Order: sequence, then C-alpha cells, then structure tokens
Amino acid sequence: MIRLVIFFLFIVMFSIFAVASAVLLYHFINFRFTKNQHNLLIISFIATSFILGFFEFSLFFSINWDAVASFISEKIHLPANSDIVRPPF
Amino acid sequence: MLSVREGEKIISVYRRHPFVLALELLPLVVFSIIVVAAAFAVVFIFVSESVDLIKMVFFIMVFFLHIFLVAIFMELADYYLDVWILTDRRVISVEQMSLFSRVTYEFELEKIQDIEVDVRGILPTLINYGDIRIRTASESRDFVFKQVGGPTHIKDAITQAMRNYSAKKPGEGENISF
Repeated sequence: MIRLVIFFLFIVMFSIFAVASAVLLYHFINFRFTKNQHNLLIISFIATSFILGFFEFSLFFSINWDAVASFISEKIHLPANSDIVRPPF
Repeated sequence: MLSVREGEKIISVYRRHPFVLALELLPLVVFSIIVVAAAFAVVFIFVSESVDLIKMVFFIMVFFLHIFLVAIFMELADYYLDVWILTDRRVISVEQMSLFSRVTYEFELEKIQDIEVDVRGILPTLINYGDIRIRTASESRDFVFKQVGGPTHIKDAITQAMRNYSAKKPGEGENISF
C-alpha cells in the first residue's frame, strides 16, 4: 500500500517535471535567435534529464519500501501507551 | 525566430554579461552540492544499517538534482533569449520576461536621440558590465538593456551604425537630378 502511494506521488511529480521540461525545450527551440543555435546545450539537457529519470525509476523499483518504513518506525521508537496512533505498517 | 529585412545586415548580437548568469546559477549549484553532500553524509552514518534506506536517500538526492537541472536550464534559457540585435538599419530588443512572457521592441537607428551608459557598483566596474538606455523620438518609453557586457563599446557601435546609416540615406534638402 505504501509503495503504491509513494509511486503515485513520484509519478505525479515526475510528470510535472516532464511537462515543464517539454514546455521549456519547445520555448527555447522556438525562440532562439538562429535555427541551429545552442544545440549542444539542448542535447545536454535532454540527455541529462533522461539519465536522471532512468536512475530515479531504477532506484524506486529496487527499494523495498516496506523495509524502509519498518526501519524508520523502529528508529522513531513510539511508546506502547502513547496516544499517538501508530501508522499501519 | 527573428528575421531581418531584405538587404539588412546584422552587425552584432549582444547579451547580458556571463558573470550575471553565473551569479544567478550559483545558488542552484550550491544547493545541488549541499543535497549531494547531505545524501552522502546520511549514507555514511547509516551505511551498516539498511541498504534500502541508502537507496531511498540516493533516490531523493537524484530527484532533487532533477529539480535543480530544470531550474538551471530555465535560467540558461532566460539568459540566451534576452538579446539585443544591432543591424545596419535598426536595433531589435528581445526581452524574455518569464517563461510565457516575451517582449520584442525595434526602433530605427535614425530615431535614436540619446544613448546613456550606466555602470554602477564595484563588481560592474571591475568586470565591465552595466545598463544601456536609449531614448528615441517616440514619447512612449526608453529602451533599457540591463547588465550587458562592455556597454561603452556597444554605445560606440550603435553610434557608428547611426553615422553609417545617415551617410547611406539621402539627406534632407539634397538636390536630386534626373
């Protein structure tokens, strides 16, 4: 369940970045002074974005999110008779 | 993309001084370094505890680096899309106000009345960048090109272009014989 929630949040944020990057690229390519100017800069941005996106997805799907949640809840050390409701993981 | 008129020649293209761009990019670069350093510090502390936690820390680090990459490219796009173009007939000013806001002005060289160069501060004086303000015959507004490198040199180039333009055009009262 926690994995799904985090995945949903990640996909939403990644989509926002992807759309923002596409709009930014379109704007830059369309309004640059000459037709072939700054190609290296544009290609560098696209390549770096893809590489970072690849690493993000690789890391996300390689993480055992339940283990991470357990580790964090152990570190927090909530007392047994606490009024705070323990999270369901 | 901008286009010039038939027979018009581009003399120079001017942008803001690269030092100004560096100042704008510096906070983003510093934050990127801080994020990477913090990630490695957390990994160093918890290295023997949980592999998944380390992966999560690197995931968050890469995510933030992605944010900074987009922000850096936005600053670069804003820098490269602010441009002044001096041709042998006019000056074209293109200013990218924000991502979806862009203002383009152009004025004929013969309409220019005054050119003012404004260099203020220690850094602008040492690095040689400042503002150029052009006043035209129009009453609407002055044209200002901010933080441009070598403003005095640009002023001289515009003045020279104005003289060349006046020399090419037939003057008033000149007798034209058929």
